[in-house]
Amino acid sequence: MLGYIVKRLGISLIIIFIVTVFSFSIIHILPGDPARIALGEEADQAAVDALRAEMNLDKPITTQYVLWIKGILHGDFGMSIVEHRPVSRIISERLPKTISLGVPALILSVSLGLLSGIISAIKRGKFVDQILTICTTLAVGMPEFWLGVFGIFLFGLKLHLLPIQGYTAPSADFTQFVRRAIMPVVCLAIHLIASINRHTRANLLEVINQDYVRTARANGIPERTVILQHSLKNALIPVITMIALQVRVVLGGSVIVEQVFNITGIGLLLKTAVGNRDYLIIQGCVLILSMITVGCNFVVDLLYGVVDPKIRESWR
Amino acid sequence: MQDKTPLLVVKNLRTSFFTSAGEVKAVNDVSYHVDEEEVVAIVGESGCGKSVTQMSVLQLVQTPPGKILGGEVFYKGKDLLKYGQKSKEIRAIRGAEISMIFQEPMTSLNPVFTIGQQLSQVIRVHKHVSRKEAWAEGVEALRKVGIPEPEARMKNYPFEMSGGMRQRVMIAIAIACNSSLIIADEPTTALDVTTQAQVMELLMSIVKGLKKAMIVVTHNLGLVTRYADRIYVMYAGKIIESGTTEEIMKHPMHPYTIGLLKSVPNLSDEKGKALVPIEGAPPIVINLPDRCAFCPRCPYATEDCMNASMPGLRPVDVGQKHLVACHLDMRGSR
Amino acid sequence: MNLSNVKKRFKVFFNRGVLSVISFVVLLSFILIAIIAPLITKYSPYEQNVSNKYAASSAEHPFGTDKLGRDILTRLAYGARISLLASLLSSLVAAVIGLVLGLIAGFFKGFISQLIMRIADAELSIPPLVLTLVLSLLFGDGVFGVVMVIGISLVPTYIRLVFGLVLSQKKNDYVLAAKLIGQSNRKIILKHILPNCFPSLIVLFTMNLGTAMMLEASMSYLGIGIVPPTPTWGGMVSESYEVLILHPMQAILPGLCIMLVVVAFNILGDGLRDALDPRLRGKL
Repeated sequence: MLGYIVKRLGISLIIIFIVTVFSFSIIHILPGDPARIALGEEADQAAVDALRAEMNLDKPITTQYVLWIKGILHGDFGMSIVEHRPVSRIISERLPKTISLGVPALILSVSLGLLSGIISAIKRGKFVDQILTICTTLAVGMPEFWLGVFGIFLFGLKLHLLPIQGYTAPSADFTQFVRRAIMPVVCLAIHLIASINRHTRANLLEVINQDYVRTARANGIPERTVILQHSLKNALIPVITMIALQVRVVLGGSVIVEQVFNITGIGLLLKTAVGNRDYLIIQGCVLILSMITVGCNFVVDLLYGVVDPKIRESWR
Repeated sequence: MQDKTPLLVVKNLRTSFFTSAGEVKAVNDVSYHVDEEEVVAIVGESGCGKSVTQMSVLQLVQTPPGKILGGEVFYKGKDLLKYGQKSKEIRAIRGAEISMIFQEPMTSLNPVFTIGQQLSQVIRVHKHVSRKEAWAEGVEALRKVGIPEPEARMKNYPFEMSGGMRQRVMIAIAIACNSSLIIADEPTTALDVTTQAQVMELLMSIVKGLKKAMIVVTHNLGLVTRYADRIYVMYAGKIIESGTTEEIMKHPMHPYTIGLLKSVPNLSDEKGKALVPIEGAPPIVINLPDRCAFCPRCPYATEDCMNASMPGLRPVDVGQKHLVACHLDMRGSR
Repeated sequence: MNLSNVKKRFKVFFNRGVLSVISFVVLLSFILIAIIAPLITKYSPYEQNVSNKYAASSAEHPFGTDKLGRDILTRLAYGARISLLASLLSSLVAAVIGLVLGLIAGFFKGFISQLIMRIADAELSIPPLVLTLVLSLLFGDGVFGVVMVIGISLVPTYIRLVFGLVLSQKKNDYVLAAKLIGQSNRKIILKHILPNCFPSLIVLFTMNLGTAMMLEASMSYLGIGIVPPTPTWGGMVSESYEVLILHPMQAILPGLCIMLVVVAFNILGDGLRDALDPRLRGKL
């Protein structure tokens, strides 16, 4: 078991290493001198050189990388060249907002996606299944920003049911948080609900045709148990892979959704930073978001063992 | 039929699959019966409908595309086809009164549950005992089928066992709830030759020892002759010959049965005698014309066979227990 | 593949019913609109007429005009050009790069293979829009930039697919036989492995067209990549945001176009998958 965990951990670390190299390279590959961008076109060369030295840009590239990693390990992501504040501070202010929308979106997608997928599979070809199929097919093709804009128009501007912009922390005012979070969360979740529904349905239908499901039925196991226990556990294995891969899509969606609903989360931060060429912020955001994804995948890898005994076998 | 009471009587069973290519009459007006403590074999090539017949008895045919169109299945006097496919009544029969053993031991057990979980679940569904009792009964069932260290094996997953072992587990599940009838659908086909004999011997000793009835579905006539009391031969969704094993082995009356017997090696045959295969392939049972389905492959077929409609089963012996569906009189042609 | 086989596959493809046919027609009409855009309208997508801004629907302007008095139908038609072109080219870029890297990773064991697969993993750990945002800094604005950015961010799925295909191909006896008779690696890859990758590749390609279009629309909505005044469907939604309450159709129409095309791509991809490679069902 320990061997398996160590192996997965090793792979995760390699991936994070590659991501750090990528984020680090951004500052060097991209056109323009970060120090010059920070100080503006009119700044004199001496000031730029001073800043270059402060940002370690004058050192050899490997040294710079090592220094940068060292800093990150100490929680130092550098200074934002636009806000003149530590990147770590900015990110830690922004990240909770993104997470507090992303987690409900994930929970919503998984529960709704699985539930509707199971219903679709059981009622295959029936009216409910057809309706769900149409809905999910449309949902997959619906751009998140468009759904958001449409929601703002309908529920905000026309019906005055929900606030159209902004964010309230759940700790500050929970009701207000919920009211403001409904539309962003739905927008974030919409694609994932649809794809989990499709995958669950397809896999469940495949599993239902397996010999062991026939065995269960032939032994008089109640249909409910046949579906929810014998079939679902097998069908879930590929669905879990898919959900793990989709965590990044939800995080990516936050860039859009935060723009639509004007939520100052990490997605909007990144978008602004890209506009301002605020490289250290970009580096920090990419790194943090990737680490969240890698972390989720790692947890899912471990979850696998719970569902699939063959993997648990390799743990021993 | 007078000396023993029939346990299972199947009358005019018809099951079809509706595919994009048309209706496949997999089971076409099939009738047979099984007495208490009797071993009956249903023999035929793959695709002849012998498995679907058995699946229909317990209503395990996937619907859609399959559908049981008609007939009656009397088990201990109750018509099983009257119960719904997912009804409580049919579930109480499945696994508790009639148990099935399937062909593919590699895929017939659920890969994500342990042997013990699957075995004791079946016991608990039918016997309403505690988890602990069910587990103990499971261990006992494994012991009965000759699995060494049953306590440890209960905690194994199917992928940790060999094909022969898994088939033993399937047998253990089949006998765990004291079924009166075991339907073994090609129980040894997927196993290697040495294991085949072991599993078959085990199955027979259990059936005889516990005084159960059994239906063996197989394409292997050689297997059948040793174990079965009676034989039904199926071809293209129909029973074309039936009778006691002895009668059929000695006086096969249908050209297809004769062909089957000629293609099976026999130790008592004189040296150097060649095995004769049946020419051609079994028909795809879509839109078959109304005539003897074996006609195109039959070496004895006459002009009349090609034109006459499908022959019905007729008795060919004094006791009227040997039935055959053939226009010709094949007496003594083997 | 003989004719009856082709026919059979075609049948499976269209057996999914009217839906496949409709998506096919939808796609064809959008492609046609994109090609003959200059013939459909007499306006230019850039032609401003501020005196006639927010015009209502009329014979002159079937869908009205936007805040600069530009004809919305014209901008939708030219937007189709950009969107279709970008998604097609970026998927091609992704498929070619992914195929090559996947073949290399699958066929040659060891460090190179590990490196390629871990880079693909790393790329898959960066949220898609985050990746495109960062890459857009590198490739700059314009259609070429967007094609490269989306192309590169779609590469990992191709690498993984091809890698898996090659691994399973390698186990086949005919590859072993080819090795035994001393065929070169290059020949084995080109003659035996590559042709067997194509059905799945075509399926993934079709499905990715929708993903690519969605990414392009999202980028355009954010104002990155293809920037105003170039007409894009995503950009049009963004531009109409401020007048949402008064002129909701200006936001709804381009979104509807995106949805129609993406859904059509997906349905077509599903159909192709069932016809060409049913094993991928539930996986892609």
